[in-house]
Amino acid sequence: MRTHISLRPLALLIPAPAAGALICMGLALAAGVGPLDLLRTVWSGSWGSAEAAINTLAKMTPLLLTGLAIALAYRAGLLNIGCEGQLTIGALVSASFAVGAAHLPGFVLLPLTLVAGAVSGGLWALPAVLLRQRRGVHEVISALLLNYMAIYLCSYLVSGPLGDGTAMGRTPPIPAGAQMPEILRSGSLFLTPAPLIALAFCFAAYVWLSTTVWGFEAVAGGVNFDAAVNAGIPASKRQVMIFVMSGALAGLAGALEVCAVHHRFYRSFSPGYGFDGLTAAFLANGSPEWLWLSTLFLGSLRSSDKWLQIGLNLSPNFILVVQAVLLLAVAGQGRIGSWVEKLFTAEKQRTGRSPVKERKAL
Amino acid sequence: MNHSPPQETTPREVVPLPGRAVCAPLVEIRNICKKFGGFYANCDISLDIARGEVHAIVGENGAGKTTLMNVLFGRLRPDSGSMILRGVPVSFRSPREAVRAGIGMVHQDMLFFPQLSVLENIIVGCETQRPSFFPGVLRTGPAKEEVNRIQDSLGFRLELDLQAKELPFALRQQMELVRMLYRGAEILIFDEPTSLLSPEETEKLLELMKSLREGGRTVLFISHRLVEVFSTADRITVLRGGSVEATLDAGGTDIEEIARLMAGGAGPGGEPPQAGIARPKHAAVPGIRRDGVGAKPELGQPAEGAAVMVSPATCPPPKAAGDIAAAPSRLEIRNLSVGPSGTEPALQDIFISILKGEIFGIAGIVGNGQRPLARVLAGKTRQDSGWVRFEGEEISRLDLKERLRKNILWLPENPVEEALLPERPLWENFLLGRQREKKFAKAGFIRKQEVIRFSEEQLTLNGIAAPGPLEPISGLSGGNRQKVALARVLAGSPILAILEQPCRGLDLRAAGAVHDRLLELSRSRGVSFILISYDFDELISVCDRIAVIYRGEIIGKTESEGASRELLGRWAAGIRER
Repeated sequence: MRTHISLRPLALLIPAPAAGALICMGLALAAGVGPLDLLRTVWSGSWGSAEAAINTLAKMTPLLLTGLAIALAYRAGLLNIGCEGQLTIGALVSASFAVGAAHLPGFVLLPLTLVAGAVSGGLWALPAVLLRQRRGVHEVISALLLNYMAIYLCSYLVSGPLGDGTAMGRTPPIPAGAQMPEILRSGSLFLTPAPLIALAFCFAAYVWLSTTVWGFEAVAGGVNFDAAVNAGIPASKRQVMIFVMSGALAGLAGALEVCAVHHRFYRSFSPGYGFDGLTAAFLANGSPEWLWLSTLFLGSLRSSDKWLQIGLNLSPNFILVVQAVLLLAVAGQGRIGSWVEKLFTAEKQRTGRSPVKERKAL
Repeated sequence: MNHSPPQETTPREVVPLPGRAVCAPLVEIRNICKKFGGFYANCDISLDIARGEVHAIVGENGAGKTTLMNVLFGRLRPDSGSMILRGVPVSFRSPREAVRAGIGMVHQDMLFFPQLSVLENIIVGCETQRPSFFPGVLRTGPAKEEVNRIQDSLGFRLELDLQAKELPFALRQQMELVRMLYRGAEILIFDEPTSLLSPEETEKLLELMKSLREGGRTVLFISHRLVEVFSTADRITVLRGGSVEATLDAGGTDIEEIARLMAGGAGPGGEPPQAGIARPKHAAVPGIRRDGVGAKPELGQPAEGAAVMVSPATCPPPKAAGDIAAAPSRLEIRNLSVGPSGTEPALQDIFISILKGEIFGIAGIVGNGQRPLARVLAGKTRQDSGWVRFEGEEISRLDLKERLRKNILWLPENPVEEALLPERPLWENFLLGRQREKKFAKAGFIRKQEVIRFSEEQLTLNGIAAPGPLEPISGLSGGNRQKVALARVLAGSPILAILEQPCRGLDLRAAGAVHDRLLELSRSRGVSFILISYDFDELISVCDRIAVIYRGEIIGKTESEGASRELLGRWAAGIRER
């Protein structure tokens, strides 16, 4: 089979962030920083050195997976806003599993740890979608509430039964067998194959959605639920399946964070990866095949935030502002697109035949 | 703004200067072009619309009628060209601006707020026209008076406090019209307004258009039903392939000429379109009509006896079912009852039996239970009592999916909402529902090349005007989307097909082609059809037998040979004698 990656999402991907970037440069000027200085600092902070690049790639990994989780659910007509909770649960379960099953050999332990994280994330997503189908509760509400349940539940568990006995609110470190092997090291920082795993999942999801029967059925149900049902597709079942898969991807993101980066679970584990995944997915217009680009972008911003403080004496929160402006630009891209279009048509009309710009008098 | 009854002049109306501006057209459309992808929907269209006329725009599916009106209404921006309204050049960026300039449009697929009341639907968007004492508080009193005045002038009786979703289609249309008049529309665009109306309602609407004209308003009437056009229009513009073919005075032309212009001259089209106007198929297929069915079932009765008349060779051998006599009919419906849903009445004690290769028509006025009947037969809903037997096997308990597997296929009334994937490419729309067939899938992967080849075949076979199978279906005209939905059903090798309004929005030629196709499939392949339509002429010309449904009951059945519109009309109105 041949797959063909459409460039159309890319066309959507560029104008809006470009507009957002312009606004951010204006903001930088207002904060007393030259726009080029800002760009340079973000670049050197994210890709300027081996350490910076490793750090950026590590930041990209969970975003790729949570972004994919959201994009996948979105294609099936659902909004999984519960990635934060699913990721937290996945991380705690995988860490505790690895600690508890430390006697297993590494080549079994590591995959099982990841699977444990994914499964628990999927299960945590299940109530939201079941409530939607059985009782008509909107999945955004229930998934959002499940986030808080997950965060506080995990916080309790690591302070008590699953904690390491200290007051730090963390699990014991996972055994070496469950830690991801390093493939690159620079100073104290190291790189694992985790980003590659995340990328592989994105590509697999793309192939699955665009070439398989199941993917087609899921997308059909997302586009027009009624039409899918009338064509004999069990659209409700497909939605449950996709939503659980989405939760599993978020859980996997948590497990990879544990196995590849932190080697344990601790309280307030996620710095908002679940919500940043939302930004990543919408920047990529819900297309798994372009997630790498949007997460590259967000990951670079995130990993350079402390350099803003050091290099430019800007608050690291400035990056949050940048990110918010970008998201607003993307949300408004329909409008931006029509402005661009209008600009062109106005041009055409001026150079073309008749100017029809006059407003009619009433 | 003034929403006075149409007799008075509205203040906006420019008093024509004596001598000069009287004959100046109200709307001048100049060289409008609109392209979708590589496909010109409108190509250099110029058109004048005079004040106070009913101007019909006719043309086949995809001729660009709806596109042109959407341009005029500000829903689409033309690629080039200009419009002049009351002598002033205008360019509408949104329908809002068009409405402000006095243009109103009653759409083919109406959009409204189902949860809001009828009154709220009418005044939405200009609630603040009459500011209330407390800012931000909606004051509906004066609006209600105003709306009622408009209603009186039109002879409407809409219940303003009802939720809009409770209204049947014809009344939603009235609501839309009142909404436009409430905004002071002077130019009213009706886009295929009669396609979902019963003959009686159609008559009323046409009368209404005339009275709007008497009241000084200008009416643009988009249609492909020439009889209706000729009964109301002053002038007729024929569009073909996105260009204006001609604009003629209705008095100075006739149906034949217009039909010829629509079809592209008297040239290679071959079939004289005028034959299709009154009764599309009677003349054309006299030979094959009644063959293959064998003897006719008796009329008016639940066809108990019909079973005996069919030769066993054409039907599967009856199963020895013991207590219930095995019926050789294709479909047996006995005592079928379904509870009421929404505005649709309950179905009561439906008896129908349909033979192999038969086209069975269901006639009636909109909202008399046609939809629930189609849904229950398709397996979308469950009956309360009674049973349905398909090829001698009880299927009452089977759901939609299981019935699909038995090749009982269904074309819903609104394919865009119920059967198609808008925004998705055409090939996916052709694939939907057949994605697990061996022909189209291998080891869980879709054989896209196969599907694309199949889609191309279907596009040519059904005469669907589309840029190609990779383009989204949303770029197609309403009629062409209908053709896609129907093509998918007919290509799915049905044994029984339940077709709700298969020719909705199709022009005469396309509808004729569909009728030919149905006859061909039923006669040569033995496919049975249940054809639900509000058009009595269509049913009489295509069907073998027709049942009329009235308030959820089959009020009468007849062979279509010898049946008359008048008889069906009387039954549809609830008059029981035959």
